[in-house]
Amino acid sequence: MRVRLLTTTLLFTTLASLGQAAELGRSVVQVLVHSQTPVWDAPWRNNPVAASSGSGFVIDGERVMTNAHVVSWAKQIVLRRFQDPRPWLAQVEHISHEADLAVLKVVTPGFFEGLEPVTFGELPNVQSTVITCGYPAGGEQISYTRGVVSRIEMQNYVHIGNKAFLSVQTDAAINPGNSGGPVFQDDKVVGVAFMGIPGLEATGFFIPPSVIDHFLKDIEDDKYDGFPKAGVRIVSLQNPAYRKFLGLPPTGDGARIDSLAAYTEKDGLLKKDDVILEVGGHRVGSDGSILLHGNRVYCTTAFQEPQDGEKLKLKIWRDKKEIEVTVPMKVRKEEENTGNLYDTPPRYFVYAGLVFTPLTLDYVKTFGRNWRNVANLEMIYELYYMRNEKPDKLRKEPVVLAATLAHPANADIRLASRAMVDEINGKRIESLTDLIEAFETNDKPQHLIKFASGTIESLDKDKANEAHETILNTYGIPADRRL
Amino acid sequence: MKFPKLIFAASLLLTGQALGQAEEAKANWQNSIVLLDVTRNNFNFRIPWDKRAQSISKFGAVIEGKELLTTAAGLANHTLVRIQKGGRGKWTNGEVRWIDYQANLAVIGVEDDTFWEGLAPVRFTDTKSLKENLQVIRWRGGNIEKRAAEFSRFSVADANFNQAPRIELKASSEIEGAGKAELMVSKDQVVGLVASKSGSTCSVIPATFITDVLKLRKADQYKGLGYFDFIWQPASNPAVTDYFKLDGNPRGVLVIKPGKKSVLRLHDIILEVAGFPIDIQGDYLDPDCGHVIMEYLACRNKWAGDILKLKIWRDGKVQDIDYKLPKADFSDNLVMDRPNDVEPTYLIVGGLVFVPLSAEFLSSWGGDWQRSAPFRLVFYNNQKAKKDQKSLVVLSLVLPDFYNIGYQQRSSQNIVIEKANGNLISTLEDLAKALDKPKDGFHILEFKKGSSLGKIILDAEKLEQANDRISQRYGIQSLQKLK
Repeated sequence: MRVRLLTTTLLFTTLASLGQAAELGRSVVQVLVHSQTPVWDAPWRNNPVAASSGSGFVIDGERVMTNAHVVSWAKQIVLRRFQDPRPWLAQVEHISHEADLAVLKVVTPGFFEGLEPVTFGELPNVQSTVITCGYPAGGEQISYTRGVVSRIEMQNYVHIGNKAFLSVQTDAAINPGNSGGPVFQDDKVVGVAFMGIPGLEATGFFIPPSVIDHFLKDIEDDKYDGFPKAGVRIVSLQNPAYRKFLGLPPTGDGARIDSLAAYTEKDGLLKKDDVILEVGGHRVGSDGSILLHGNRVYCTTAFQEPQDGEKLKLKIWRDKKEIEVTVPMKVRKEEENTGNLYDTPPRYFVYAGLVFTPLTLDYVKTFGRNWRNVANLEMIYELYYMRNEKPDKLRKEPVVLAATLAHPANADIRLASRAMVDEINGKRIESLTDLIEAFETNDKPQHLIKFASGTIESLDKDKANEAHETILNTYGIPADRRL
Repeated sequence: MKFPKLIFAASLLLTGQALGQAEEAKANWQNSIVLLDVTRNNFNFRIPWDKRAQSISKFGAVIEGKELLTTAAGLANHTLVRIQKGGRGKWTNGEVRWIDYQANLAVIGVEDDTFWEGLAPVRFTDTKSLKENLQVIRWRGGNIEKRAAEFSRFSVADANFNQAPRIELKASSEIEGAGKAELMVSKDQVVGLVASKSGSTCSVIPATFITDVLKLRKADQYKGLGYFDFIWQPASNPAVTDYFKLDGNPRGVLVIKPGKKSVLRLHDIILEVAGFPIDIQGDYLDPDCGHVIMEYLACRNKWAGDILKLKIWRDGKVQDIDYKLPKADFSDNLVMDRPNDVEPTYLIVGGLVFVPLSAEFLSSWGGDWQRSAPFRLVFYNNQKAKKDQKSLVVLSLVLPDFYNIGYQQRSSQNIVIEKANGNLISTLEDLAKALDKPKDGFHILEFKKGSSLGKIILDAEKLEQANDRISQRYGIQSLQKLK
């Protein structure tokens, strides 16, 4: 009898939650987007316009929150309200590609009439029930699905591709179209649905309140700065010999700084072999984890709590004593080219049919799914290894020859594409601006291009200059550069 | 209409049979080809203490002087060579008397004089123009199998991992599983040994190359293969040759990475090699082989240490230079090419398995190692040795034991050691020596900048105890195998 009663109670509670969610579903909107992505190896061109849809929800300040990936490269954003056929034009007010969040403002007046903004809750507990709400594929109407919180940990956010943030895994169905929709617990939003893992069933992820709060606080000054980065690699400190070497007991707290980014090393506040005992008030375990709402998660989440320019307090074990270090946290843009780029069309320069563009992850992905096997070794090394191994030789903006648009003036160039530029006319190329200057200031009869592989190619300057405009016209390139 | 065709087909068959009988009368291949059964230690360079016996079947050709000729492939680390003549019956022990892995040839002797009764040496063709009526000959199921082959072309192949070139005859054949030193014959003469087969194409070591090698070996004058130790690019772009002010038509190839031992300089244009004009693609017209890549001139009856006459364009004029062919020995490369027939070396320290970064180690990822092996290790193959670090040592594996807890994760694998106890490490011997001098009771191992783990500390006092435990637990006879 007792079991049955419990079951009845549970069912009632769940039904009550679904009922609340259905009421709150009025604040959930469908986001209809037409977008156009650039062609990264022909950067003056765009791919065909694509239609997609996602979900969003009303937050305070007459705004709509959704995922960044729902509205990236948008040419038009139209919202649909709950049970309301009218289209409402919207536009992006602020967007965080790293946290995969965006805030929209609605251009058409009257959208928010009768709509209540949601309120945000706390990070839900593992095993607790949540309800996702949105407009997934497979139908026109709003959809509710229930599930439990399976685990909470740091996950790579696939939209940006090169950054990990705290993420909540649930077995509630999160399908295409759910993206950007709220995840409710009781009457509060405890996350934004954003990704699944192809091939894994009943595995969806949502963005937790701490990441959402950080984004909303960041844009309070009407400017998005981003998530700061400490520029340290923290590794576990569980080997008794290493602990003894540093003067720590064989077991206990603290994780070790194994390496530093060049900028952190330059700042001099943190050092290799510093043991982080506490970060932002969170005690750090020997495996590098902190306790967050009853879950052990990797301590890098604590480094993501401050806003750009704020200070983070650390307790550190250095030279066999505990010290406090206050680190000013800064947003770092140095590794942008190793993640996916959005909304800003790619930079390029076309000269005599030679198409030059910066080396980015988006560019190498044009080689296909197996781009790592196709891209030459110099490109991969420059993109992913040079920064850590030889920071003094790192180019600010490595440039590649992306394509050669055939014309008699360049027809003899054998190495027609997919090559990283080293020097032009004797000048080391650190950026696209350098490259343009190297071409435009050459006083010799030939341009000499040296690639990172050591291969050299040349253009007859007069013939190249003569052909330049013709090639732009032939291939429909509106301007020879976008900087 | 069908009737005449049938008659024609029948008559063709009859003619073919008659021809076959005539050839067989001239060459009794069963007396000139033998079966070899080779037992060898097949080392796994990632578990270098593990010896796995492997049995390989291949063929040998009877040559003058009561010896057998076969390919060198599969003979490295052999423990027993057994020979069977006549395709059946008794097996006789043999011994490898001479082997050159670069040339991919080996000579095998048999002490037992009675073995040679009834055997007759093959006759190698002395012309490269013998391209008609090709057949592949081998033993199969106790009988001689003959399968037709069709000449395709001559091409130059790199020998194994390194850059030593060899000329190969390419012929297509339907024969299955060839590439084990089967005889490629034409009528009663041997055209070459089948070294490998890919798809339907057999790669054959030509008889003319074989006879050159055998003559030199007999005269005790074989010096090994030479190679071009520089990297060139085609000079097909006239603007490039104009830049270097080359007189006349574009021709030759441009040196883009001179070898450390050669007299060539960066941006020399090689116009002629051994009197043969080099075209803008880097090919020349060989009187025997047709158009082939100029690399062949490094092994066209030329050997390590021989002088090649080069005509080059340097400093605005044609110059004649003598180029001494360096020996194709890559043991001093940063990623060393270890000598064959030597057991893999390793050093296990508290469960940390250290091995030299060698061609064999990288090849343990399979034929596609350039893509499947860890990128950073592969990239060392593009980097030059330094004066103070001529080779590299990799921490390849961690055998779990509580002594090395904290270092058992994936980030501690396949990383290159920089220093041990403050000493720069180039070889396993350096590492063994450095471990004799712990620092204040610890072994401090530092890895190359940018590695996924920067530092490991081990307890020096407890090392011996841990080594004994690991040796027993993992059944490893010896924790080190140095040179």
